[in-house]
Amino acid sequence: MSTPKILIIDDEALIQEVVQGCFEDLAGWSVITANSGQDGLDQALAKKPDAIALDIIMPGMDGITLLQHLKANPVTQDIPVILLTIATGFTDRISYAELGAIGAISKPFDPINLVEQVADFLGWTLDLKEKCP
Amino acid sequence: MGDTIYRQVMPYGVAAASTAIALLLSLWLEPFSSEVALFYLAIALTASYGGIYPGFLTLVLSSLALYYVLIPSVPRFAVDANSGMELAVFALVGGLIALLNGNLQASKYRAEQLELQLQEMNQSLEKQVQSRTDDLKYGADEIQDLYENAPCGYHSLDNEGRIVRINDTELRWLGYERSELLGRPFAQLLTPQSVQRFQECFPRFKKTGFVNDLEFEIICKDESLLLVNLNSTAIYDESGQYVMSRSTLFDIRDRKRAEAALTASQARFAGILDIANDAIISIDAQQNITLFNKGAEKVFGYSATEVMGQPLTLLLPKRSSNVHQRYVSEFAQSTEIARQMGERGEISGRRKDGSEFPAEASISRLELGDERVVTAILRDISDRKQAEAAQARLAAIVASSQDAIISKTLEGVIVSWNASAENLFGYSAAEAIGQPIAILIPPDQLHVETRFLSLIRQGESIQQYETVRRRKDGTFVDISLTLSPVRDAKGTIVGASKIARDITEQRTLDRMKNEFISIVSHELRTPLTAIRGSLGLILRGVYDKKPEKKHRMIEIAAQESNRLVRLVNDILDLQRLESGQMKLALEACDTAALMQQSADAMRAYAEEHQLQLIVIPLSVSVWAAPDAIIQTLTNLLSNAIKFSQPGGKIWLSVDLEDRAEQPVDNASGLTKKAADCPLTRVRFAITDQGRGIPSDKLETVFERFQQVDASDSRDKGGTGLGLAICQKIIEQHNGRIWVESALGEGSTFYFTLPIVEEQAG
Repeated sequence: MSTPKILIIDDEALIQEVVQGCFEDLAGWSVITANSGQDGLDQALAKKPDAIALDIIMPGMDGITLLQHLKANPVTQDIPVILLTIATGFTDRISYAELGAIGAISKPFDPINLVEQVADFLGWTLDLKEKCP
Repeated sequence: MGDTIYRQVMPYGVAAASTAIALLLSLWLEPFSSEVALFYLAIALTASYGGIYPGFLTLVLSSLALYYVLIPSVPRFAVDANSGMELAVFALVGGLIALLNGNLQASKYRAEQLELQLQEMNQSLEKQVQSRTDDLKYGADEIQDLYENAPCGYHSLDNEGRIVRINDTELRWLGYERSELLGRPFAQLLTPQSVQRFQECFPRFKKTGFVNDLEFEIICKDESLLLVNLNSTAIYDESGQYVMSRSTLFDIRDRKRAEAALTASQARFAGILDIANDAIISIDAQQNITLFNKGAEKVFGYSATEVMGQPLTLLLPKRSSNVHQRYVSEFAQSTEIARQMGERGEISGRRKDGSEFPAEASISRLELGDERVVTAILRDISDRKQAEAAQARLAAIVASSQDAIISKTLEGVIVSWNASAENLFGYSAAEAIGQPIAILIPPDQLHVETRFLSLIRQGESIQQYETVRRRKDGTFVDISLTLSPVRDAKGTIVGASKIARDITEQRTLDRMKNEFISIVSHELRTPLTAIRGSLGLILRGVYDKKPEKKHRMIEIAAQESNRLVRLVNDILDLQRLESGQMKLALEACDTAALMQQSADAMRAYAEEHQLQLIVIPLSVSVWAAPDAIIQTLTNLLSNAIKFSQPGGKIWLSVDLEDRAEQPVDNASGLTKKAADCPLTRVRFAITDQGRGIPSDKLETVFERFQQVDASDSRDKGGTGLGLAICQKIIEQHNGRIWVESALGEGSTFYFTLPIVEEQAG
C-alpha cells in the first residue's frame, strides 16, 4: 500500500501543526491540512484523501455540518472520518457513529495514542518512525 | 181581694141584719117588753162585731125602724116633742153604745194584731238564736279540728313540764295514745342531748314567756327519732303565775335532709369549681372578688386568699381596667343573664407577675336576694393564640411562597391553591379548587401521576421530580415537583401536598452554565492539546535528529502555555469580579497618570505592530482602583493594536463628559447628582482605525467568549474574556463602558469614571 493520505481539518493552527507532526513524522502518513470547514470540504473533494481527521468546534461550518456534507456527497461519502473532539461522552460516541464517523478521539491526546487509534479505526498497519528505546 | 171586700162589707150586712132581727123581735115581743131594748142590743152586737161605723149604721137603721114602725102615736112626717125626745135619747144612747162597743172592738183587734206581731218576732228570734248556735258549734268544731289535725304538732306543758294538752298530729308523729302522754314530762320523750337543751331552756322560757326555733330530737314510741323545730309562748293567770305553754312543733326531718342534700350539692359544686381549668371569678356589687376558684389561681398566679375582697381591677391590665369596670357595671344593670365578652376585641388578663395574656370570657349574673353577683368564666387562650399565630405564619408563608403550593385529595382533586400556583399555572384558586389535578398534567404524563398517588398512599414522598406541566393557556412549563403525604390528626393519609417550582429560569441558567463550561472546557483543552502533542512528539524522540522541528514544538508548547495562563487568569478575575470576591478599593487617581502608565505598558506592543500610539492627556482626579483601570486601558489598547493594520494610529484620550452626551438611562449607575451636574464624570476614549465591529455585535462583544470572530482568540492571542472583565471593572466604578464603530473605519471604546467631588463642585 502506498503512503496513505490523510486530511486534517482544524481551525487551531498550532493543533493542526502538532497533529500533522504526529501523522507525518511519527506515523509516516502523507498529510493535507485545512483550517476551516469550508476549506476542508473543498480539499476533500479536490484531493480525495484516504481519511479525514476532523475537529468539531470550528467557526463558520463546524465539524458536524461538514461531516453531513461529506456523507451526503457521493464523491466523499466513503472517505472514513475520525472526529477530534473535546467532548467525548458515551452518548456523543453514539451520535458520531450515527452521523457516519468511524471513530472519535478526545483532545488532548498523546501522539502515539493518536496515531495508534487512527490506524486502528482505519485498519491501517502502523510502522512508527524514530522509535525510542 | 174578694176576701178583703167581704171582710169590709160583712159588718155592714151584720148591721142591717141585726137591725132587721131587732125589729122583728120587737114586733113579736111588743106586748112584753120595751121596744128599744132590742135595738140597743143590735147596736151593741154590731159595733162589737164590726166596729164603730157598722154600729152607727145599725143606730141609724134602728132609729128609722123605731120612728116609722114602732111608735104609732107619732104622726108620720111630723115630729112632736115627745117622740122626738124619745128618739133623740135613743140615738144618743145607741150612739154611746156603738161608740163604746166600736172602741172595744178596735182595741181588741189591735191587741190581736200586737200579739200576732209578737209571735212573729219571737219566731224570728228563735231562728236566729238557732242559727247562731249552729255557727258557734261549727266554729268550735273547726277550731278543734284545726288544733287536732294541723300540719304541726301542738302541745302544752304545765309548770313542771308535764304534757297537759297535745294534738292528734303530734300524737300521730309520736305513735302514742293521748292517754299515754297526758301528765307525762315532756323531757322523758327527748334524747339525752335534747333533754339537756330542754332543761336549759324551760326555766328561762317560763320567765320570758316565749322561745323560738329550738330544735329537739324526740324519741317516738317505735323508738324512731323525730326532729322538730319548736316555738312556744307561755300563758299566765291574772296574778302573773305561769299556767302552761302553748307550743307548736314542726317536723324538720325533710328540711334537714334537703339541707344535707344541698350541702352535698354545694360541696360537689365547689368540687366542680375547683377542678375546672377555667378561671371562675365572682364579684359583688362593688366589683370586689367573692369567689376565686383553683382554675383562677392557676391562670392568674394569685391564691384565692390573696384576692378575696380585692377589687376586680387587680386582675386586669391597668390600661383597660376602667373599660372593664364600666362594662361589668353596664352588664350588671342590663336585663341579660349571660353574655360572651370580648366580641369587639380581645380581653386581656393580668397575672400576679404583671404579665398579660389574651383571654376568652363569658359573664353571667345571678340575683341573690337584693344583691347581684356577677360571675366571669375566663380562659387563658395564649396557647391557642400562639397556635393561631403559628398557623397564620404558615398560611402567610404558603401565600407568599414563590413556589406553587397545592394540596389534593388521594383521588387527585385539588383542595388548596396558593397565589404562586395562580401565577404559575394561570388558574385562579376559585377555578382550580375542586378540579382534578389532571388539568395540569400533559396526557403523556398521567401515568406518572397515578404512580405518584399510589406512592403517596403508602406514605412515600417524591423529591424534586423534574417534569412538565400544562398551563391554563395550553403552554408548558418546566417544574420541579416535591410531593408529600398529608395526614389528618389521627395520622391517616388523606391527601398530598405538592410544591411546584418553576425551573424555566433555572434551566436557562443551567444551559448557560453548561455552555460556559463547554466553552471554557474547549478553550482550556485546545492549548493543552497542542502542548501535550508537541511535548509528546519531543519526548518520543521523533525530532531528535531535527533540531529545528524540535524547537518549533517547544515554541508551540510555550506559546500555548502562555495562552493557558492568560485564560486561567482571566477566568479567575472574571469569577472574582462577578462573585464580588474582588472588591475594588477606590481612591482618588489622576487620569493623566493612569493614561501614561497604560500607554507605556503597551508602547512596545504597538511598535511591534507598527502602530502609532497617541496619548492626549488630561489631568482630572477620579475615583478609581488604579490597577483595575490600567488593566482596562491596556486591555482596550491591546485589542485596538490587535485589530489595527500596520501603519495605523491609536488614540487614547480623556474628556469631561458633557451632560448632553450622558446616556438617559440609569443603567450605567449615574447618580441623580451626576445628572444635575454635567461635569461629574470623565470619559476615556480608545480609538483605532481597525476593521470595526458589526452593529449587531456592539453589545455582545462584552459578553464572555463572544468575539466577533472565534478565530481571533488564536490569531490574536485573546482569551475571549477581556472585554467581559473590562465591563465588570467599570461597573464596579459605577461607570459605563460601550463601543461605537464603523465597519472598515475603526472603533472607539468609551468608559466613564466619576470625578472626585471637590473638583467637580
